[in-house]
Amino acid sequence: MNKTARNDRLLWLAWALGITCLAIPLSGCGSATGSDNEQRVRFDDWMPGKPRESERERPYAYQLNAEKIFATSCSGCHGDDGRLGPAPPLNDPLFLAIYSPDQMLAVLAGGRSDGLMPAFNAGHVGGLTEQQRGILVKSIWERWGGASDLPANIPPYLQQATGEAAAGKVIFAAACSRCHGEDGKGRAAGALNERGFLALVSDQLLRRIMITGRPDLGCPDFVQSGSESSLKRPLTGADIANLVALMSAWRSGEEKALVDGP
Amino acid sequence: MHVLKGIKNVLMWFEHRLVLRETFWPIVRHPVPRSLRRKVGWMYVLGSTAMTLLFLQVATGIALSMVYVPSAGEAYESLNYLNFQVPLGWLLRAIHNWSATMMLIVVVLHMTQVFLAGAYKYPRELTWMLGVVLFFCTVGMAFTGQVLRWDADSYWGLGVGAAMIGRIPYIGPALVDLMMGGPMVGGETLSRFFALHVYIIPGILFAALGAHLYLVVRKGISEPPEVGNEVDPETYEEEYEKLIADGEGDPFFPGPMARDAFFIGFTLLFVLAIAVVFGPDGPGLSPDPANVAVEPVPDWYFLSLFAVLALSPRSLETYIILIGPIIVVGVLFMLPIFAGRGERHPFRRPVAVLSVVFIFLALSVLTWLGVTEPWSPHMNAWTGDAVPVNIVKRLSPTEMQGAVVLQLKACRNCHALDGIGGKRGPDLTHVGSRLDRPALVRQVVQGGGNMPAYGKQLTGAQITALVDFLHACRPENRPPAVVPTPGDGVEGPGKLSRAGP
Ligand code: HEC
Ligand code: HEC
Ligand code: HEC
Repeated sequence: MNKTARNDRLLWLAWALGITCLAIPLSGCGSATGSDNEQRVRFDDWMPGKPRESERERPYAYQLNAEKIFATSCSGCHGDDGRLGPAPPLNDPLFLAIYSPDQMLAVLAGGRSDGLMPAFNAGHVGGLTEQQRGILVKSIWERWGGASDLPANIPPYLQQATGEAAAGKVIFAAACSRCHGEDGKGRAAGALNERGFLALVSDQLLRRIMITGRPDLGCPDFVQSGSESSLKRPLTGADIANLVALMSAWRSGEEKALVDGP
Repeated sequence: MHVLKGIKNVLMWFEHRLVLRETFWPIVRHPVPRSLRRKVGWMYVLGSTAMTLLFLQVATGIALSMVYVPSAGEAYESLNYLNFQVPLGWLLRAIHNWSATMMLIVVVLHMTQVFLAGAYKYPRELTWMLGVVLFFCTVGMAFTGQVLRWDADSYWGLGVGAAMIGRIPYIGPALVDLMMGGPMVGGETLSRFFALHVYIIPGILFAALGAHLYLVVRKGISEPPEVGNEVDPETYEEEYEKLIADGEGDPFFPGPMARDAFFIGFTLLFVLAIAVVFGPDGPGLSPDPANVAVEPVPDWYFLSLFAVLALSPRSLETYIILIGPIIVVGVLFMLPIFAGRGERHPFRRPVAVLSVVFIFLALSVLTWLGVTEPWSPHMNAWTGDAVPVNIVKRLSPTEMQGAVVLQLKACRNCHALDGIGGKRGPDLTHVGSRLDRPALVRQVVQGGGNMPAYGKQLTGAQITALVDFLHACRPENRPPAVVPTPGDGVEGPGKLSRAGP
């Protein structure tokens, strides 16, 4: 075989390769039929590069796995397994016993205007669809609810009657100050009578903490904090209303001091 | 016989009117130096390969444009339609993507080869300059092409690009307006980039390519360099004429062209193979702030560029953005003017060889930095990355609210705690031992150094709680930071005791 002949053959081979290469993609330009999720052709299924429907990147709104939703949207503040975060624990059977899914759905839809809990409705950055919220709330009770040995006479989640700051002061001195210091100025546990704290939390959160405590951080629940104090009995709903009134008074006192200025 | 004769008649009818034998035939038969028969001739296949890849891009690009909708609302859907419903539509996208990558690589290799072989020297200076234009057109096609994908990655790349251009004095904002169709990435932006990618840059590219090819044929393919053979404008053309004179040179077709054709076929097959194996790129999620789960990354060939910007100190950034491109374009463009004569062989041009080595090393290091650099904020760190438990356990009630503020205001999207979270800003786990309260307040309220100012977005109580929290972020048993307040005029250790918790 002489040189030119060989070159010629190479040339034809190359042209053939090139044309195949061009023809394959162009053959795909036929019209597509079939429903939304149906691919018309299957003969290319063996090719590893063919995108699979299951790997299609979908917006977050398509995420319907409740644990993944919690890990993506809630654990930043409420902690990886719903406790030991800076925001109140959701993984707390006592809390879930006095709280209801409807209340949780309402908080998720609207956030808390007097606290730092953001709204998670679809209009917000990082929001959740109604369906996602429903799945999430249901799973929270499934995962963490259903405690069997709950104490008796748990004060209700929502406050029934307004309390008295003066009465609250007495209870605070008895039940709380051994850890939180006189007038809540801080001791073994941190201060509560501080603007940076009081201005950012809702009264509802304060009430809830007094009922459930923070089992993850060592703040006692209503039974323990009352029984282990000179009161020798669990705190009642009225006690807690008085305590909340006391802390509201602290809050407005601080604000006044700030407005009046030094 | 009748049939053959008929065909011949038809062909001759055309030939009579087109006179290709006189115009086209001499072009493909133009003589090239015989020394190209040696192995070194394989070095000369890169240009035509790049050109073929360009044609492949045109073919696949036209096919894509039949389905693609260049509107912000529909681009994502039409790409998914190609991926999942059009038969082999995904392969079309994959080939277009991989052949673009390949084209960029081949163009760079071609430039390097021409540079190392000194082929840009007299009388081929203009060929090189047009080649530089072609190179920038290719880069421009790559950039505008990834924008058309219109997912979070491209959106992000655009944002950086717009910020760069916006800093050009006087005309910057107007240029951004022109490019984006407004001061920001918006609905019109995509149409502009579609026009750039499909009409404007290809127009320039083909005009430059035509001139480039004309010069290649007119001025002849450069002979492989020989040590000691210097280019002298006085004598070069005469010597080159001798190389390609009748009986001395080879006609380009079919000999040397077969080599090109073989390499081109091989490259096309290779592109097809990686397209089949790796498939198309994206589309990722649409650039929608509600899609918190995306982590945008620019395409790899721009990583080095972005790495330069990310790593350069902010005070120098503007100069780098403004002067860098002028220097790069200027040097590339004017190269044959400064070094248009003399030795061509790389053995006699150590500076040239070393600069190639240096440029490739620098590009690789920068690309590597770009790969490892934490590009974008972690979009969902604020709701998804928990405050580390060992920190929470130490906090007072106020500090805990401060931690909630840190999450709520998405500081975590840029700042990590215990290594988890965004990496745009420093890890804040031990910030309390680095900065004292006044410094923390200043940083939060005024921002600075690529951090936005939060003064207007936070209430007084939120700042108090946040700073309390940051102040508590330090190793257990470590005293808080006592950082001298700058500008108090006191020198020496005495001033250390002034600032404090
Ligand atoms: C940015 C931090 C943050 C994120 C993210 C967050 N929360 Fe909250 N959440 C809070 C804070 C702070 C409170 C307490 C607000 C208050 O009342 O002062 C709270 C309160 C709540 C409460 C009411 C608790 C009570 O005791 O009344 C529920 C229920 C709740 N969050 C559920 C969720 C769920 C479910 C998610 C995920 C979708 C979530 N949160 C995400 C910060 C957050
Ligand atoms: C045994 C000690 C102890 C007692 C008694 C106690 N606490 Fe606490 N409390 C803690 C600890 C520990 C924390 C976690 C924060 C810290 O370490 O400062 C805490 C936290 C809190 C918080 C903040 C929770 C949050 O999520 O931000 C509130 C509110 C609170 N306590 C209220 C009370 C009230 C009201 C009482 C009295 C009824 C009380 N505590 C009694 C130990 C105690
Ligand atoms: C867009 C990204 C970004 C966001 C969001 C952001 N920061 Fe920063 N932050 C930075 C960068 C970058 C630096 C480094 C600044 C410098 O080099 O001077 C920094 C520095 C800091 C520092 C000083 C750290 C040190 O060790 O010197 C503190 C404290 C800080 N940020 C707190 C915050 C807080 C609190 C928030 C939320 C209110 C926040 N940052 C939001 C990017 C960000």
